[in-house]
This record gives sequence, structure tokens and C-alpha cells, in this order.
Amino acid sequence: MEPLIKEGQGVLINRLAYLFSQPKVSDIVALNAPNIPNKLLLKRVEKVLKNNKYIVVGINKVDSTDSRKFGWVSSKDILGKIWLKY
Amino acid sequence: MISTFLRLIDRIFPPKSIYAHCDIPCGIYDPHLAQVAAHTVIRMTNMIKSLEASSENPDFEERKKTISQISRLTAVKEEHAELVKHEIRILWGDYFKPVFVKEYPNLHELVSETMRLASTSKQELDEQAANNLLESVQKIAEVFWKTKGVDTVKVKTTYPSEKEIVVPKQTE
Repeated sequence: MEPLIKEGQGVLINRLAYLFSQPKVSDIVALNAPNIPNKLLLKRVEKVLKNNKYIVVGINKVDSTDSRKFGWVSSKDILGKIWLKY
Repeated sequence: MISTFLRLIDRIFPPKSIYAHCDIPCGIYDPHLAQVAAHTVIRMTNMIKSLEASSENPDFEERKKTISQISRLTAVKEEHAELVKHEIRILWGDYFKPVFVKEYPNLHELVSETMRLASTSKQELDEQAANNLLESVQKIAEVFWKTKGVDTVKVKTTYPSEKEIVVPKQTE
């Protein structure tokens, strides 16, 4: 996700962001990596599909493993929205 | 100031790692090759079937030529039926995840059926099996693109097999 977030930087995730709303296009979200237990990913929502499904991509598309590889993700896999970085 | 405070908190309560970068820059999956291979299987099957002898008892030279032709066409037919299986195995093993199977419950049967049809197309000279193989691969292609949120359309190809191919729908 460089240059948005550099390696080693901290990010604070708002886990309440999607309590009463749904992720929108361009939101930077934290999500559970599909098929990899206990691994979290940070991606940008590129497309909102029907039935609470989302296409997420990295900002550096050339170097990113994202929905182009693992397909859509469901809202239950999205943990929250990036709030601030430090 | 906030940053320093948060870093201090991190020292006391180490945060969980989150990955913004990839493991391997891959993501290159496409059911196109499987479809093209299925078209080739149809074409080879039709070409073998259309071979005809010039008479009831052709001479030795003609027999040699026909045997050679059938051997070559059969080799390509089997190679491309195997290519269909190879490509579908990659999608099944590396791309389709359990949640997709839940979403598309016929996916398992579809893959299994494709494997069986590819084997039949290899073993026999079965035009119906070859046509069914292409249809089955097309259905997998449609599911594949749906999982990526991409609409598809069937377009007529210019291949001599005179069949269609499933491609992503172009958006304006």
C-alpha cells in the first residue's frame, strides 16, 4: 500500500465503522486474509457487489495479492476501516 | 504527539501485524485457455470424423497417409483434453476457495463433470462429449468471472469449431 502506508507504520482500525453502515468504494479496510488463518490484510474497496460482497485491491496493483487472486470477500471478513496511521 | 503516545501503547500492548503487501505478485488466473483447448478438442474430433477413404480398398500409400493424419489429430486431441484438465485443476486448486463453493454449490460437480468429459474426449471419438466439455468449461468460466464481480457474455468465435466462448463483458 506504499506510499499510503509504509512498512513498519502503525495503523489504528475503527472496528465500529461498519456497525451501522457498509464499506464504500475507496475505503481502506482491514480484513481477514481468505484461506489464511490469523492473517490480516489492508486493502482498498474497489467495487461493492450485491449481498454484502466486496472487491478489494491493493493500491500497488502490480504487486498486490487481492480480489484479482482470491475473488470477492464478504462483509463478515471486513473488520473495520483505517482510522489513523502513526 | 499522538504518534508518540500510540507508539508507547504499542510497547505495552504489542499490536497485531497487518499486511498491506503481497506474498507473491501473482493473481493471474483466467479460464480462457481451458476454453480454447476445449475448442481444439471439438475441432480435432470433427477432423478425424470427417476423414474419408477414396475407395473401399485404398492403396497402401493412402492408408499410410490416413494413419499418419489420424495419429497426429488424435495426439493433439488428447493433448488439449489434458490441457483442459490442467487448467481447470489450477482454478480448482489455487483459485476457487470454499466460500465460492458455498455460493455456487454446483461448482464441485461442474469441475468433476469437466474432468470426466475431458477423459471421455481423450479416450473416444465422441463429438457429443467434446461439445459437452466445452459447455462445462464455459459454465466454469461464468462462475469464475462472477466471483470477481465481472459480468460475462458468450461471443461467437472465428475458430473452425464454430462455437462460442465466454468472455468478460465490456463496460462503457
